[in-house]
Amino acid sequence: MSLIEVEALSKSYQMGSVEIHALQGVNLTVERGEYIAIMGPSGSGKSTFLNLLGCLDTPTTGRYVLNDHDVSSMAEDELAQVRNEEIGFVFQTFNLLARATALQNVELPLVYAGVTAHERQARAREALEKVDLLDRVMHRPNELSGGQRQRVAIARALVNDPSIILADEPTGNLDSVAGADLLELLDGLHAKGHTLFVVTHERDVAEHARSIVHLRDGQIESIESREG
Amino acid sequence: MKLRAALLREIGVMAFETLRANKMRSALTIVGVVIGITAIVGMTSLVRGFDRSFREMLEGLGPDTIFVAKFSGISFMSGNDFIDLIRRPNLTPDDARALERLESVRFIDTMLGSGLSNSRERISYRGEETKRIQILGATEYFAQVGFIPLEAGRFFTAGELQHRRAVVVLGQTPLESLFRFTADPIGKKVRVAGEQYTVIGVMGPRPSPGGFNVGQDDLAVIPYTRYQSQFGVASLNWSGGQHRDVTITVVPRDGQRAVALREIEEVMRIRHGLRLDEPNDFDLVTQDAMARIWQQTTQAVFLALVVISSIALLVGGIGVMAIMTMSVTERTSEIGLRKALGAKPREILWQFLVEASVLTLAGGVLGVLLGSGTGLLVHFISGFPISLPWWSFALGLGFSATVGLVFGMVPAIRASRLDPIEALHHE
Repeated sequence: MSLIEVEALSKSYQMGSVEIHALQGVNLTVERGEYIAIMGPSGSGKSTFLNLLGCLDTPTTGRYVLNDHDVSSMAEDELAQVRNEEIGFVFQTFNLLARATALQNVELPLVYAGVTAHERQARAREALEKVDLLDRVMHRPNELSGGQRQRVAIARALVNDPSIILADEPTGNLDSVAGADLLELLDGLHAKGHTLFVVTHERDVAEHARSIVHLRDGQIESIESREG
Repeated sequence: MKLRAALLREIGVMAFETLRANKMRSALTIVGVVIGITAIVGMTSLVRGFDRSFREMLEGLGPDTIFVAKFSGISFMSGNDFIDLIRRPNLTPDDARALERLESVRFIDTMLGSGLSNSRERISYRGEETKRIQILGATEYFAQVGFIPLEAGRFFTAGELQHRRAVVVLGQTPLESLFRFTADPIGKKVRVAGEQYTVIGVMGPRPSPGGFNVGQDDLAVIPYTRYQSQFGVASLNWSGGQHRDVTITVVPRDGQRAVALREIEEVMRIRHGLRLDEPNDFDLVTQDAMARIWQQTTQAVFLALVVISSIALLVGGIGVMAIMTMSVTERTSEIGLRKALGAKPREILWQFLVEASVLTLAGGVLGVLLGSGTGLLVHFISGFPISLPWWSFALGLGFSATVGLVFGMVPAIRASRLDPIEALHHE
């Protein structure tokens, strides 16, 4: 059984009287430990695909199995639980809680997993250590640089030990130096066996991945393999 | 509704942090709740305290005592016009003498100088002078009827009453101002409004609602016959009615209260020449009738209190609803993030509900403190009796938390139903 099995996945939206087919019959199988970039022009269905992979949305038709969970027909509460246990999100805009310290931000997924305060702190510290931010645990987001903020976000994505990490334009709000650092960090996570998805429109970001999925008009145009 | 205890605690902590971060806004939001709860707790403490001591005072009067009065609270309660009441015939000492002959009556006190038309006079002794105090004309039964214990000396006798002797029994206030430096006031000559009297007794402190000073001890008692010749019967003219203050207090023989009530009514109707179809033009007041009136009054006060507090709480609640709606809008992307990280809709719902009720509960705690503080302040300044029952605190806190839950519900439901994708990308 593969980690991810996507079969004939479609998503349509009703926009006024027009029906928009954002995704049309996508098939994809992903094994554990892969590093996949998703590219495509705007309107190609990247975001829709990412939302479905991230269990933020359910498909109109088709099947999506993640780590043995058939996500396609799940109710809201079950989806929330799958997101909590199986998925780590990294957003372009970091999405940290401004009032909370780095440590508290990283603890947040564990709050919803029902982990005790003591264990939460220990695991959040561990995750911050992985992104080399142990010296910043009590800092609030406004006391951190953009690169550091995104590393806090990555620590948050790692803390619940998810099956996949989904990064949506993770370098989009970073300067080139911080961006390069971050990509190096992602490479390191891949080397340690994490399964990564990165949505980007930048070729050099995508080239860090082992395969690049090109989307166009809601369909997979090609899968570019970059093994070796 | 299943919600992990650890998460609920976490939500509580988060709620406190949010409120701490928005101190000013939170404080303004809960003003209405604070006012409402302060009113509930403060007024409850005053009303309950007064109520309790008033009942104690009533009980001190004795359960069988019957007051015959020209009018009383009872006639007001039954909707009579004040002008009609003042035009009723006045009671006279002769009425009392007639009632005295009744078989069912143990003894009767006639009191002049109390009530609406009383004039206040000074008493002097060797250059010391009291403030203006109440001079009552009464019978030898005054102390027994009012259950006032004598502290020293004796009360005047039937003979002294009959012979208009110039004897006086002092209350605590004139005693203190005239005989501070004199060991024994009995037998001393004092001047009451210029005329010489002999002090024959001293009354102990009189009961009052809760023992706070309303001037209940600012009095001296002389035989009513003497009172009539020195002061006359003070009268007050009001819209064509002339009012004289004569209060007749009847203590019936044991077990004869019902009989006494019936006989007094009969005698008074005959004396006033009332026809069969005419209503009584006097009131017979008993302890339980007074208690009933009092109860109606306190119930009305409580009702008014509930209405006022409800309005304040409603205003507070609407404030909470507005602020929580704002909060949900401001924190849309936070809600999106929490959902993406695995928060279930009901966990978001509870987060905002708890936040709203922590907010209003803080207002409630403040209200309880302010309310009991107000009560205690009033108590220490004026001696007004108060009562701070635990249930009024529980009521205050319960109400305030409920306001948060009820008025926080709509914004919280809105937050819990936000679509995570749209919320995440909300700016």
